[in-house]
Parts: sequence; structure tokens; C-alpha cells
Amino acid sequence: MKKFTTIILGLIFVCGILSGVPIFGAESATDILRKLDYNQAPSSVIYDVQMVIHQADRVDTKTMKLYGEGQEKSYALFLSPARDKGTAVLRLNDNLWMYLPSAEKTMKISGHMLRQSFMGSDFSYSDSTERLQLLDLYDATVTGAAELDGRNVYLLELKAKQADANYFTRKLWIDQERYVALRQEMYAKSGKLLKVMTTESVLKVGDRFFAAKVKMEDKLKKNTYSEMIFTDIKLDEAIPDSIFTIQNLEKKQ
Amino acid sequence: MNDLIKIAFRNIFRNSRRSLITVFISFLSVLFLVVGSSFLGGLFNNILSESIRQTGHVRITSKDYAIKERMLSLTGNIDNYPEIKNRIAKISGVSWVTARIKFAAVVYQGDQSQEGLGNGIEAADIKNLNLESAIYQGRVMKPQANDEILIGRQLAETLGIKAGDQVTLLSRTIDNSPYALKYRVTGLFDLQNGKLNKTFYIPLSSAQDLLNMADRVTEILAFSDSTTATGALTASLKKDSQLSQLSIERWDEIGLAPVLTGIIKIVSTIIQLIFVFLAGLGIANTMMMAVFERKNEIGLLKSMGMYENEITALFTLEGFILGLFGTLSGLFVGGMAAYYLNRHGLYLGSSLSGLPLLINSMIYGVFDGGIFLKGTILGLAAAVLASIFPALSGVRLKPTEALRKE
Repeated sequence: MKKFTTIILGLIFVCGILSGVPIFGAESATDILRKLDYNQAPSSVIYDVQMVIHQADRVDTKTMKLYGEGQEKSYALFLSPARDKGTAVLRLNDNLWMYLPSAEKTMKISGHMLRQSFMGSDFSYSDSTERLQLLDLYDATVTGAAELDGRNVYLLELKAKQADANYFTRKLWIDQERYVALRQEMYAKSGKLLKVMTTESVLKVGDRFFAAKVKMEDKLKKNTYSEMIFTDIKLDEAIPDSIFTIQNLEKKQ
Repeated sequence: MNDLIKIAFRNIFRNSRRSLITVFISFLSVLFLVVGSSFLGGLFNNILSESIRQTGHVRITSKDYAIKERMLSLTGNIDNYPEIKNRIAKISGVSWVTARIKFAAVVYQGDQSQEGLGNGIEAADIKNLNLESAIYQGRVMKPQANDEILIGRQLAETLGIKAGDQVTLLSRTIDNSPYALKYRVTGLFDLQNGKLNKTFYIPLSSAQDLLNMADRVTEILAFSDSTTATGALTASLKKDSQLSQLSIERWDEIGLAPVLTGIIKIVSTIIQLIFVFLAGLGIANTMMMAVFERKNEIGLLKSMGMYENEITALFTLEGFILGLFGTLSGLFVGGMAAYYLNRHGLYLGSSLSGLPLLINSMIYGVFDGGIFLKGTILGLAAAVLASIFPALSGVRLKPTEALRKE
């Protein structure tokens, strides 16, 4: 009888892990991801971004102001360096437009560009301009717990529900206390590691924990990494619709 | 000997129709040999000159350019290029040097856009690339005018661009940031090559501005006075210590040039051999028939005391005379065709455009002593060789066998 009880409990434990149901007080993958989504995907964002691009022995710094609403609506205006000043990017779902002041021209960029490097950095246009609800896009599994840089983290594995996701699988190290991804590994469907993102600084903005400094390494490139440092962060504020228009994109700044 | 020549001439006219056919076969073979040599020589020269126009006799790039060239990555570049260019110009055997940037860009005309291969070039390169004579609308760009662009026919037709239009180039800078500039189309060119007609040219300084590559280029090209000096020039460049950290390649080591030139040489030899073989076959056939027809006559000549080598010489002389008529007429008509090919060229149209070749669709044939010498030697050699063997088989018969009536 004792043996039978052990087997039943074991089966319940395994099934619980596989289904994301909490076991003995531990959080389910769904709960963890929901809390993570709450922190990293507010209804709107406004912030200043300093993007530092390290390529071999060269370091370039670019600054921009970014407005974002929902998951895939963004407007970014570059403020420096002089060569990029006035360059603006508008993202509306899968459509991308870019205004380049040097040519005084707005160009519609084809959809595949979303996966390309954003202004020469290790971040892609998608990485920089979307705030995805991971719960909608991925099936998650808790694979364990660990300690990362002195903080307790959950280890999660995410597998895309749709085959055309930017990253087919992700491995996340999620802070157990603040529900911020301290490390993310993004993989292609083939299993090839594409990018590694680490969070170097976290700020509390309102009731959300926000990654204020992140580092991205594009593993398909050699000797490069890029950092984004977010300041003057405003979350969940109303943004006029006029911001996300081509007229605004072409407005002389 | 004079008697032999007289007899040979008389024998030729004994069956004038057969002799005429033999002369005609020889004529056709020499004609095709001359025209073929002219055309293939022209094709070879065409590939050689087009390749050298594009790569110089020797191309100097950064070590990792060869790996990144296909992706048109700008990170494999030469920094502080004016100093390196000046250094190369001083090396013995270098007649002139130029620098270029090759890059990918999207050309926008109104709402239309098309990807194209861009070249930032210096003033001297405009002449080298034959751009001035290739302009079919507008004029060539001014090297100092940073907002001027020349566009290839195919690219222009795809986007409906005319000389005088304004286009925008969108490219990625050396640090991979998008950047765009406006240009005035001063001219449209047709380099008679599908691949080159998809490209466009802007001044080097403008390319450096567009791509944020001040003082940098992707390649430096060194030219010598003659193609045969390429080996010596390469060796001199490789000896220079400051250039040792760069990649130094001869024109025939780049891309498909080594394979192509090898293939053309082989094909050319095969074609020539085929025509010589055909000429030989025609003459051998005639001579073989003549020998069999005149078996009794051979027997009679032998019984009258004529030596075997004299009889062999007689038949060979007949073959030679037939071959000579055929060769001379073939050289005359083939020479006229080769002259036309040399003066007016042969336009191969779009048939070459799909090939990854640096070749001009207008092929100008070679017209020099070489093609006539080759036609003469091979035409006559085929005639003589093709006559000797039937003659030898005929003279080996004993007079009694040869005289026997069947």
C-alpha cells in the first residue's frame, strides 16, 4: 500500500510539472510568466534609451526617445549621434517605416527587416520595438530553480505556439522575487543559439519591476554586444494616437 | 618534280566533280577554323579585358574581404587607403592605381525600389570601366559631384528611371546602421552585360559619406602596362612589408576567371581539332577513292619503273593541291568574316546575361596573322596527312595484283 501511494504521488508530481500546475506551494510556469508579462509588457511605455554598441574595438553610442503602446506599436526618434539625429522608426504591427532625414524620405521597410539589426546593434527591430505577452505566444515549462548573481531564479523553457515566432524556443532565468528575466537565451527552431540577453539593472516603476539596463549578444556575430540603458521611464501613460502616424514620422524634429 | 606536278594537276581534273567536293570540304573546314579562332580568341580577350577592368591586374583587399565579399560586408576594408594607394603606385611595374568601394543598396525611385550593387569609384576609373562610351542617355557623372549617379540599363528599366531623375540610395553603413542619400541621375549606361547593367556608380567620396567609411575602401586595384607582367607585379607587391597584412590576388585568381579561361582554351582546341579532322576526313575519302579507281594505273606506273615514293608523292601532291585550293578560298572568305567580326562584332544579346560572367555581350573577333597562320598550317597539314595514308596503301600492291582486272 505504501509503495502504491508513493507511485501515485510521484505520478501526480510529474503530471503537475508537465501541466504547469503548482506542486506543493511552488508556482506554475503560467503564473510565473503572467507576472513576468505584467512587468515587461505594460499598456504603454515612454522612455529615453541610450544604446551602446560594442563591435570589436569600436564603441558607438546612440540615444533615442521611444514611445510604445500595446504589444507592437512603437515610435522611436533618434537624438544622437549627429549622423542619426532625426532618424525615426514607426512600427505598427508587422509594418515598419523609417524616416531618414539625410534623404528627407520615409521608407517602408519589408517585414523580414524586423529580425534584422536595429541601427547596427545586437538588438533586432522586433527586440527593440515590441513588448510581447509571452504567455500568448509560448508554452512554458518550469525546468528548475537556481541562483544567478546572488538571486534565486526560476528556470523556464518556452516553446513557441506558432512556428513563425521570432525565437522558436527561449530559456529564461526569472527572478523569484521581482519576476524579471535576468537572463534569456533565444534559440532558432534548429536549436541554434541566436541571442543571449542579460538584465544588469532593475528599477521599480509604479508597481512594476522594469529592466533598466539590458545587454544583448547576437551569437551569430563575433566580438559584438549591445546595451540599452533606459531612463526617464513612464509606464501606462496615455499616448496620443498622433504619435504613431507617418505624418509624425516625417515631422521636422 | 615538274612532271609530278603536271600529272597531279591532270589527275585532279580527271574527276573534277569529286575534286570540287574535296576542295569545298577543305574550304568549309578552313573557313570555320578561321572564323572560330577569331570568335573564340575574341571571347577570350573579352573575358580577360572585362575581368581586368573589374579587378585590375592585381587586387589588394583586407585579408577577410574574400570571405565577406559575397555578402558585400563593409567590415573587411582597407583603412587609411590614400597612404596605401600611394605606396602601391610607387612599386615598380605599377602603371596606375585606383580604389573602390563595392556595396549593396536599395535604389528608390518614387514608391518603387530595387536592390542593386553599388560601386564608389575614382575619376580615373570612369575611363577604365568604359563608362563614358557606355552611356546611352544623359552624360557621365562628374567625379567631384557627390550627388551624381550613373545607373545600369537593367536597373533603370526595372524602376523606370530616366536621366535627370532623382533617386534615393538606402544602404547600411560600416556600423550596420541604415543611411540614405539623394542622387541626381546624370546618365544611364549599357555595358552589354546583364550583371553589370544591374549596378550603379557613384563617386568614391560619396560612397564613403553614404557608408560612413571616411578614408576606407573595400579594394585597391593595381594595373600594369601588359597582362603578361601580372606575375612580376604580384611578386613585387607581395615583397612589400607594409602590404603583407593585406590580401594580394592576381586577376586570374579571382572569382570564375581561372576556370573560364581554362575552359575556353580547351573548347577552342577541341573545336579546331574537329574542323581539322573533318577536312582530313573529306580529303582522305577522296584520295582513297582515287587510289582504288586508279589501282591499275598504279600497277602500270610501277611496272614501268616508277618508284613507290614517287607514286606516294604524286597522290600526296594531288591531296596537297586540293587542300591548297580549299585552304586559300577558306582563308579568303573566313578572313573576310573575321574582319567583319573584328570591325562590327557579334552581339550575343541577353543569352549571356544569366551567367555569372564578366563578359561583354558584344564579342569582337580577333583579326591577326595568327588566325591565318593557324588556318593555313592546319588546312594544309590535314590535306597532306589525309593523302599520305591512302597513297601508301595503294603503292604497297604488287604490280601484278594492281594490274589484275576484276
